[in-house]
Amino acid sequence: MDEHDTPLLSLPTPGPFMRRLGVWVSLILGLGFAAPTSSQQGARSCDLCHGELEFLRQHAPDLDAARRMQVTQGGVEATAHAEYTCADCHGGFSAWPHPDGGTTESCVSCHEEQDTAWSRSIHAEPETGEPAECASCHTVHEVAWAEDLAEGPDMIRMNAGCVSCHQASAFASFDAHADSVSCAGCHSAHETRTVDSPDALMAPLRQVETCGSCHEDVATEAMDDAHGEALAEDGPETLTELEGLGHDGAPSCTTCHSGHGIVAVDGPFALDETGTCGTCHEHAVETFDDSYHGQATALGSEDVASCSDCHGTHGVFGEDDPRSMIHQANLVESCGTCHEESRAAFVQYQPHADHNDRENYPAVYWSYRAMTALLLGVFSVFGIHSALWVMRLALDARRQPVGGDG
Amino acid sequence: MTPATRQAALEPTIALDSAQRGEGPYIWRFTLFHRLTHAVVIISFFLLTLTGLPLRFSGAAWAPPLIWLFGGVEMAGSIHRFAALLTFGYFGAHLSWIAVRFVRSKNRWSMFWGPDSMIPQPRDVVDFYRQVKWYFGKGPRPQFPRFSYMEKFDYFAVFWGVFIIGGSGLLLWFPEFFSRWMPGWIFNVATVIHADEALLASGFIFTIHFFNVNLRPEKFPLDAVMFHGRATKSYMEEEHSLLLDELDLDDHGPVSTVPMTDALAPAPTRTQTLIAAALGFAGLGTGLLCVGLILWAVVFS
Repeated sequence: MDEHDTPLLSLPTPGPFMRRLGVWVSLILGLGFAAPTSSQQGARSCDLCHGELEFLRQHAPDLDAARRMQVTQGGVEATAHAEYTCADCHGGFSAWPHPDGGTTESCVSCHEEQDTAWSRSIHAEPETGEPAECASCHTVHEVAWAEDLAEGPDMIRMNAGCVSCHQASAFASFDAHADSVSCAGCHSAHETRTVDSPDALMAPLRQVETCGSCHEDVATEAMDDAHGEALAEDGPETLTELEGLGHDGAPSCTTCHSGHGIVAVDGPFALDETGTCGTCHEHAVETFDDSYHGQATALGSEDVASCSDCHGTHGVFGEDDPRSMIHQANLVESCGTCHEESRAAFVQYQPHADHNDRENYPAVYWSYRAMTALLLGVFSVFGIHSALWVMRLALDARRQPVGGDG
Repeated sequence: MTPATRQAALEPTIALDSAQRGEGPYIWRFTLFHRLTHAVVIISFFLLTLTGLPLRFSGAAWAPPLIWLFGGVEMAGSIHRFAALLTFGYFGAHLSWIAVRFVRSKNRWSMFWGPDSMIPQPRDVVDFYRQVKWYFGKGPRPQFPRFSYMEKFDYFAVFWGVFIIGGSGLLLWFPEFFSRWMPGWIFNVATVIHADEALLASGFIFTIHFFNVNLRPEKFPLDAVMFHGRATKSYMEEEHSLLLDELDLDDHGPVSTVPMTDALAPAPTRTQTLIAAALGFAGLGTGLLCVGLILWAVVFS
């Protein structure tokens, strides 16, 4: 064909009659080639029109509506609804032109359980904005398999969908869960609740169960340690309530690990343990920072002991608890992890010595004061010695003006 | 200040190195052994300070980049221990030198007592008293023998420092070993002493010692006598006039009975002067930088 601006041969825009004729011709030809089963036959015949955007556009109010209607059986076969035909959901559309009174099944007719869960979620009755319904997350026709939503590209797409509304809750790029855990994995797919709800999967006392569904060992350990027992005792029902307790509250999983900025524990998390534990244990970190362990940690040493190396991670107990790594009976072994020749005298070292605490650390208290006095004394004497020297020379110079014969 | 040096100090072409100012022949002040020892002291001391300060002030903003320059905490620790070995090395070498001189010297006790000794003498107390009187205009400027009381303080500060910092450092280097005889809290005390004594040592060297030997108005900005080993007669008149009185300069030969050869020296060559100035200013600059870092950490902590 010539590529002129105006085609050499041109047809008039088809009128209503021509369009209908075209459809009928297509239908007849289509039916002739269609596969033998009746339902697929029906579906294939839907494709004849619903596969053609140009055709749909002529019948739909606008292009967007036309695009929504552009659904083929082949397309649906790639989704979780593969074994269903158009007519399984859309009844009364078999004739064309479609008669009035066609019905479309709602999702609930099959997914009753999910609908019940959803109806209890914040998505059904949000405090602001429109409810997030089935299609808001799942789309209408491109529904993914539930298994696919747990991992892989479909999960990432679904997570992106959640984030499109919940921007503030997006995973940090470094988050260990980013690209590997779905939002629904922790927040429930259908019975999603807010931080104010005691029924949320992420409610403080339910985190052990929720996080433990993957991290079984640590969750069980954490539940029974000093942090876990204190949390159970505090009993905050919601995350909001836990946060309200501030530094007086015991930690749940997310208190230390955060929700959407989870750092891999074998890397940066280990280096910033003082930052994490120090949120509540301020004084312990202050005294630790004065020790070689703390100083080398602050400068990025991974070899030197930080909080968890001595106290454990999810089995943290007070020093009076025999289960504790820092219980008197366990110290030689705990310190011995790094210091091979650890012995009873060796573990009398005080990793959190406070040079201002005379009662508990008299030796450190007095040596610190003696050293401070020595420094002040020496610098005072020689500082004054130097200052007076300059002053004397300056006075002499004034008495004997520059250029004088001296 | 004598008229000659005052005049020299007013000359626009005054020597940068105060050991080369004024008149007169050059006189040897430090032997090659002394100067090499001092050079090793400088190198080891800076290595110790630069790798130790970031640990002492680990919360300061400059600490991580400085430790990074030394290749991380572990590497900096190795350098620190290597410099500690250098320190024990020069300390041992110096003690050996004293022993050898003591055996060989005809007048061996003059090393330990008298006007040429490093050991503080009764006259040093008097000198200090005279110095204070001079400060307040109540007397003339005191005249010093071979070593002034300030130089003796600096000298014994190194002894004190090597014992205290070196000893506590060994405890912290081998805590498991020493815990065979000592309770663990000793290492807490050792940490405090090591850190604060080191702060005292570096702070003292980089301010008081630098002032006494380089930065006070008579010597500003540099005295390189410890690098090229000699100083002018004018310099000796001003700094160690009592020693000069004993020197018979016309004799051109050894004039002292002390274990050190006091003799006329050739003027330092241009190359020697440049090298001495470069070393001196490198040390001064690095030391003052350390003072800046310490003040920074103290002020912003």
